[in-house]
Amino acid sequence: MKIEIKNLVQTFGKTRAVDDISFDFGSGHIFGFIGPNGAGKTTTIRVMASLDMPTAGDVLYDGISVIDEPEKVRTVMGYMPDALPEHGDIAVWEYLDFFARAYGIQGQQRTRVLREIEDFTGLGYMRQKYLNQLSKGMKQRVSMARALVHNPQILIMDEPAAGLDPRARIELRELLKILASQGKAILISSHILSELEDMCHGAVIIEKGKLLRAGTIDKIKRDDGLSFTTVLLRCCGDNGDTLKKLLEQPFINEAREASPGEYVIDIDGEDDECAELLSNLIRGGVRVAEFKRQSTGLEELFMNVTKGEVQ
Amino acid sequence: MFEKIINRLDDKLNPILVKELRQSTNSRVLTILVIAFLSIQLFGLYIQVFMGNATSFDSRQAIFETVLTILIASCIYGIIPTVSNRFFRERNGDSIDLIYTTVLSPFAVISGKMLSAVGLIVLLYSLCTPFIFISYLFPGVDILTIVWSLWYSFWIIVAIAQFMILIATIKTTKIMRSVVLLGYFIGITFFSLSLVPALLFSRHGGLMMDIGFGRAPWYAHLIIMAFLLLIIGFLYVLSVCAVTADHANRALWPRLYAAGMWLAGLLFVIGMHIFSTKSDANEANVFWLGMSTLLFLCFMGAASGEREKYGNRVRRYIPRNKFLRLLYFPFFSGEINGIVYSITFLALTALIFSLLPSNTRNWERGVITIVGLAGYFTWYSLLALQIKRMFVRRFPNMNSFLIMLFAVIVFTLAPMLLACGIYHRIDPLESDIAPFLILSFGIMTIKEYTKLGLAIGWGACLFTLIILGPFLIRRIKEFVPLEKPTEQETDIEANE
Repeated sequence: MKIEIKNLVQTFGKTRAVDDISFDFGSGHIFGFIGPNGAGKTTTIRVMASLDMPTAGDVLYDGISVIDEPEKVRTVMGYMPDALPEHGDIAVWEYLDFFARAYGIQGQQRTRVLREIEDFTGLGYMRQKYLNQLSKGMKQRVSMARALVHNPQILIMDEPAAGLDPRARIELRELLKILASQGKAILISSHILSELEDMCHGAVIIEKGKLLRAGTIDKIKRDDGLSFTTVLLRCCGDNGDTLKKLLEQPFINEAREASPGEYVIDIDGEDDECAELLSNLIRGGVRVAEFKRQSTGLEELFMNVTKGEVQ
Repeated sequence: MFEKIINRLDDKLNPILVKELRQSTNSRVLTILVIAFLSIQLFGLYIQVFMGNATSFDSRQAIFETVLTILIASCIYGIIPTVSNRFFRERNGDSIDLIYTTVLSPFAVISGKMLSAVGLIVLLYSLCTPFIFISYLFPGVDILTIVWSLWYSFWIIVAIAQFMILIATIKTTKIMRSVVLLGYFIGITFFSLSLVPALLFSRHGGLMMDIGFGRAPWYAHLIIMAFLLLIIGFLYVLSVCAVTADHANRALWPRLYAAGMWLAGLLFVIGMHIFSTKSDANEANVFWLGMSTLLFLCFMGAASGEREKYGNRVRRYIPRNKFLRLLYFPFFSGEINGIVYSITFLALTALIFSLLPSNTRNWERGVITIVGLAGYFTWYSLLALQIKRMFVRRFPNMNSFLIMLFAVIVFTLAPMLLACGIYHRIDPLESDIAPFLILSFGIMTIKEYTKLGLAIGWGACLFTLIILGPFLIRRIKEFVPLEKPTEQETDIEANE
């Protein structure tokens, strides 16, 4: 399944909250949707979830327009809002049961689907609790369970990790990885870039409603000249001139001594170059205590691309 | 076997109805409401029976009045605001996704909300049964009065519930929501104060005789029930229209329903001419004329605020056959479609009214009034479209419906106020004031100015139509079905 956002524009009065953005992503991929506060992430997501009509442009799910056929789109898309309603009069199982019924899941199948979803999201033991009695993490689980009830091919998540404790974040990340491995296309908006980094195949970066970058993370890095790899090297003893010589290789961009015995090396390349450097060091008799590879992260990418401007 | 039937029945239930009833039974609000209702009923009964003087017929009737008043008040102050406010929040607040991100149809959404309100109203009516029975034991009220009052009060409350659900579909702010609820409470207080006496009075014959249906009681009941159900149905389709996706053919159901109501009214009038007296038939004629005119003028006003372009979704349903397309044109969403729809039905109303047998001398005035009103309102609607077209670049979010309303106010109230300011009189029949009304349909009420009024209304309409001509022609030309992609295009898309 392919999701295409085509020249999307959303205005509120004179403010262009989303200004002509276009990108696409497909099945089995997790895409991070990142940008500073007020960048237009939630506005875009609400249009994608068929909650709001765009001022111009369209969102297509395998060619099905969110404007022309929102009902059809809702059958293939699951939406996880940034906040769950604070209902004090509806229990978790009743809430999920409502969505299962609304999506036309009937009889025994509904019971089975709800049990599976509750097991998958770990909600089984608090199914009788009311929504307003849940912790933030549990609410996010309910929200995700709700979005998954009809087994959608696309999952759109608005700030799913916001306010979660570290354990809940790790659990959420694992759940998302499982979902992606099942072939679902996932778009996540988040501020917590370190979380996204571990699981995202691609990223969409927007600021002031304008699209800055979109594509796989490698592609964005290449486009921004951030494709070098950083290696942290720690050696034992005095390696002196041997090390200096070994670091004068054509694929090494820069090597500097951060502290005695510790070096930061920028390599113009990826796995092959790292392996070659390490084997050269060992063959050259350098006593390597630590050799740690660091790629350019989403955080660095984000800081490099955005200016921190808000509308 | 029994379990299977129950399960199948359970699957068929409207999801929103299930959710709402679950929420209601879990909710403290409903529990408090029920306890308060029972306590007040008991207290009211105690006051009436033991503190009051329950010896005379009238004072014993007061017992039933008290019980009925508490029942009606509990429904309209408790259940209706609770259900409509919840819907209001779901439509406007953070939990909008609760209903709208599912695949539920607009009919299912409104039916679910309505049925849950009806379910709760039935619950309160059931709870009230013992109190009603006690009031019957004091022979101040007969069984027919009890049945009559309960039956009609129930349907009136259902109509109010449907009206409030319609109001709840309007997307607005929390402040406006509070204003609407306050308005509801004020309006409903006046209404409910008069409802119980009206129900009791009508049972004793007064009201029924007054509206001319006194001859056969079943006949009167039939007509009143038909009228109430038609109103509830109309509010229902309007609510469905309000929650339908913006790009769908939202106008279809209200327009079909209004056409159905119009036709049902016409059949009723014809029936009256066959089976009833001439004077009753003539009253029915005038009633049908008045209601039809009012209905289609409202549609005319609403049409000016409709969409300007037919989206792909709407165009998918436009028939390919040219004759069918012509027939379907008035039933599609769109400003021009709406205006054509209203004018068509106003013209049909005027034509049929002029053909109906009538013994009233001045039936022509009825036709003239319709023709005149149609002219003026068409003009106001077209004027709103023209103003919108002129300023759309500067004010892209301009609402032509509001402009139309503004035009109605300006051209009806402003001339009157001006004349009033100059002559210090408000009598429009005075010949020196009448000319001020030439831009208003009010001028047609003055016999010597009727022709002038008609000429001005339709003249202005024609003038605006000429200015808007190219735009209207373009809009009519745009009313074509969506072309299916050719095989070659499909192949290209597949390859891409």
